[in-house]
Amino acid sequence: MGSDRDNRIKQQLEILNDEIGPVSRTLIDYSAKTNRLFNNVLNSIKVEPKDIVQISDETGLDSKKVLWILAGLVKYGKAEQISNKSGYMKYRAKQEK
Amino acid sequence: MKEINIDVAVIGSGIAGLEASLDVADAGYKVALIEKSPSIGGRMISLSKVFPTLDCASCITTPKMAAVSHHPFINMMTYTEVREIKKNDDGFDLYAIKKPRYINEGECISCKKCEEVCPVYIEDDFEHELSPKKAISIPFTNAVPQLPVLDMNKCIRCGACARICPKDCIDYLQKAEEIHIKAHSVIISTGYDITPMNAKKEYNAISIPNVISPLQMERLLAPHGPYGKVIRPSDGKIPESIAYVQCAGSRDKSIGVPYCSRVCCMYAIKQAMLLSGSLPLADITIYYMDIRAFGKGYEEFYSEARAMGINFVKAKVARITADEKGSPVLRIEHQEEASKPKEIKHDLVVLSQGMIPAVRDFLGLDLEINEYGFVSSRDKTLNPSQTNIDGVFVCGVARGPKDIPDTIADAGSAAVSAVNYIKSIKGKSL
Repeated sequence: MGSDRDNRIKQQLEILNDEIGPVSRTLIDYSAKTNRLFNNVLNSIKVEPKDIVQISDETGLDSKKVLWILAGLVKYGKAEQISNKSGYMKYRAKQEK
Repeated sequence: MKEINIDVAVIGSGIAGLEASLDVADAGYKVALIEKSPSIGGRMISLSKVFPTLDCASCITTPKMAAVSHHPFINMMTYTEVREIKKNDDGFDLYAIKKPRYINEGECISCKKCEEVCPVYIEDDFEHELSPKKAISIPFTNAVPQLPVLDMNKCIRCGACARICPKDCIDYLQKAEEIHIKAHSVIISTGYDITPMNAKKEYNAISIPNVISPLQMERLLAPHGPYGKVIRPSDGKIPESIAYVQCAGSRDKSIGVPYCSRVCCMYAIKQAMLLSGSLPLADITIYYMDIRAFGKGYEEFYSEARAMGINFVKAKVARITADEKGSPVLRIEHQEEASKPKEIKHDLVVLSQGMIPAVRDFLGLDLEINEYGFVSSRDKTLNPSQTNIDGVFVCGVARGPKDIPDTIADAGSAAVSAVNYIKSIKGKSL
């Protein structure tokens, strides 16, 4: 049954490609690059909590981009924010269950 | 083409459209509430709190959204855009397109599994680009309906969402649906946009990340905001000094918005009060020309803000630059005392932008609009919701800048006018 479903999904995607053309290379590259950056940031906070400036220094990413990625990691349950009353917020990776 | 017969078509589902729809439907008339976004709720659902009561905006709006979605006389049509409106002898013909979400709406159980597995991160427009979302996602936490939308322009067609869906309801081949809505009356509640961030070039808001819009600050202050705390978008620093620049997008002929937007003073004061609660150590300054606190309880609210220690500085901000750490530096000129211009550094700056109409083209309907793009009333004093076309009514900010209490009252007025109009034409036809 699972393979029937997989075939149907594959067929739908093939029809879609015929109808509107294939996915652009730019979009595929963007998606791959963004996922790499998410992984880099997540790896950076696996061992110890870090603030955005530290992560930015370590990964070479712009601090604004680091915050954007961290917001996504927190939203999708992969990282958490550690409360801080002043200075910079710190983040750490959540333990995988 | 799908055909729907109703009494009143309400275009736009912000707080004005929600209120007007409920009032018309409660009077026993059938409503089609047409919303171009995937969820109803408009701007108000994204706000943190409302002035002057500091009630939670979401807590006020969500029950109305739920009431609309469950009302037997309201046909809620989200992700639907009106393409043409024609007046005929019996009323109006609205031709709309329901855009595809690429999911089977009847089957989806809002489990968000599709969103979890989607590998494509894109800008979250609900969070004003402060955080990401996935290419398939439910628009926001309390969206109504709780249905995801697949952004086909951003989808890499990996099939992950379709394979994980427990109800097998992803449909990549779903097409847009044409809908013909026949209505006796139309209520326009299309709301507002805010003046663009780059309206005043001297404020460099596009190039300085720590100069943000008031709607971005609303999200930073919201309990379910993008960062869970007020921090600077450039580097995540907890700001110690925050400034508001008033009249940054209104009362200025040079940007085509010479009118007062009526809400900027109050939302700046509200946000300042909320900030002083969440960041008690922060200095908060509001640079203003004059404070317009005209509504019920507003003057007291302003006085309370002063008593809380918020700095009100009567000064004009000439320009904004950034220091090497990205902190905005404001060049100000005091308005009351004779002094030289000063440069003052803040960690974060909010530009109090004004309101401009969200829609100016009413797609075949020959509506009279004023010089600023807002829908004109036939009689501003005695019949403000009546437009130049019989059977077409307007409410909320589509008619001109106003705050939430005025918008609610305006929506009620438009609803009663629409109901009375339908009664009058049905009476004639009997």
